[in-house]
Amino acid sequence: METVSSIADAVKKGEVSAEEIARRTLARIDERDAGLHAFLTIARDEVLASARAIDEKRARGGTLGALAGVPVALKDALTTRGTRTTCASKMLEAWVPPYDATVVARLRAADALLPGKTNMDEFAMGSSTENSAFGPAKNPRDTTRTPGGSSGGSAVAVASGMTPASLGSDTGGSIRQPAALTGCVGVKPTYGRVSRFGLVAFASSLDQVGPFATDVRGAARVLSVIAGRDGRDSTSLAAEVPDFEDAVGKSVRGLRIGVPEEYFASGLDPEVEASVRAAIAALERDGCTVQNVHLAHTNHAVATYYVLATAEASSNLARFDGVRYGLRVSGSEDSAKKRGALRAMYGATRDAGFGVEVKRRIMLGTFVLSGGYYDAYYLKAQKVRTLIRRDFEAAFANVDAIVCPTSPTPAFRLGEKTSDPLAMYLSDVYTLPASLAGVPAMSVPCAPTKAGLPVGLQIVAPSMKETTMLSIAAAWEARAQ
Amino acid sequence: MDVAQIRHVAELAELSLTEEEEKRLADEIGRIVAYVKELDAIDTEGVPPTAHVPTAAGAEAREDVVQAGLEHDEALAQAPRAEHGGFVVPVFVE
Repeated sequence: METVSSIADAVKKGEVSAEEIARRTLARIDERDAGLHAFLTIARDEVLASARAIDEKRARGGTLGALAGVPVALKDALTTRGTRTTCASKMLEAWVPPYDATVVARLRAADALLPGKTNMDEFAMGSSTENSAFGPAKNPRDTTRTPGGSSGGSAVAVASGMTPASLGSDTGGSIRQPAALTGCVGVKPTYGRVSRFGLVAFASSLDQVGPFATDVRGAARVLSVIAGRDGRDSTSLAAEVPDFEDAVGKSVRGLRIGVPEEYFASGLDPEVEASVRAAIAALERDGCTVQNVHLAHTNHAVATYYVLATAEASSNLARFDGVRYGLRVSGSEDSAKKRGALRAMYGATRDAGFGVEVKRRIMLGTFVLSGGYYDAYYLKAQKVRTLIRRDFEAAFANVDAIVCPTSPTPAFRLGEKTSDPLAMYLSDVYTLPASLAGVPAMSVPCAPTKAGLPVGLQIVAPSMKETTMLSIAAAWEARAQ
Repeated sequence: MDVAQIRHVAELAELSLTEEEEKRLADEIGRIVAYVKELDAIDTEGVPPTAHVPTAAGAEAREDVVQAGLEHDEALAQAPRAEHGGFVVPVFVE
């Protein structure tokens, strides 16, 4: 299986050219993507041009970047200069950004190949990629099922072997859950570890960019390239970035693992539970100690998240009004008479540009921030968020990492949860708490179900301790071979 | 939720909803709000709100020095309508 490091090594040694890798990647996408719809835009000319530039650099003895020749697909919420960035929305269907996201610029500087932009739930709102305005992505293990979301396309690109790595974004689980449902590695770093500049904002206090990869080492290397202080994101951490790849292969003997009882209650699929517990037992054989931990406010995470994230989204999506970029639709004469032509334009543009789930969340978010309701909903949820953070802080006083399922069920069928928004929201129950607490968390594959559906093991670490979770994930991965 | 409340929220959110959308959202938002109301039962006496997660290494502001941003033309390039170096919108002031 091709990995980030195997490709980078081969290119560095001259065993294969970057151009050959680019051609192979485009051929695979052409061959496989019609049935999977992981990609919204393929940057054919651009990736071949940058591949040739890398080969020329190597030929004249220039220093190659850490990801030279490695194809990395990009979630279409990340701006790419000169290449259409849609956020899977009609609002931005034709938008071509004039700047690269910081993470994109860092990948380019590392000589990564960028073959295209991946499908997602519209404006990152969803857990199945079914909210894409351009059609859903399909799970490569079973194309009647969703790959999860919102970074479904990025997960599919890796899980189907089109690229060895990709970038997604995770606000409430949107990297971890699709990684679990498609059978690849997905990492959400500590809040602030990776710059959000150029990530089209959904919920600013929760959004984080992170890598998908076929293996833990690949995810670690990509994370090293994209992480670190960025002056253009005031929430990005000044802290030094540790060598994440160094964590791979480190012994986990003596690490204390916490198993949260609240994550093994009703609603958890028995096959998922069995697979996760088997992985925990294997880590015990590797020398980890296991103890129960209590994350008392887990059951309040869904309510807390859907108040806070939608409130932030209602503010962030106010910029889409038809004035400066994206879709513009004129208001009807009737509407113009009632509200004035400008507001009629706002209304008509937003009605036409946003899909059903986006409108739902903007409405909910606007409501919880509105006069008379702000204290009861928004402020209250912020206080519960503090309690959820404290749950993790208390647990981490006694354990080095928390291990649990990523998703309560394996991949569900297309259309299965679309009629009930609440049912979809409840499927995020295990990923939301780490997002609310701002702590790093990742998903790594564990034994699939009898039907062959992937299952994800979630590892949550204290703030800034991505190395701990990467070591544990790598130790499990080595055993699982 | 009743349709009048939905209309008020839609006004605040600058969304022009159809009658059918208003009815559907009244039902859906109503159910979701009923669900999130479960937060009421939690004791948060003396608990400070978390607006954004503070982490050990905080960010300091950069030096207040002018840095290049987007070129004027680049900023206007994707506008639905631009003239005379600005974004053109329907008249809103008499």
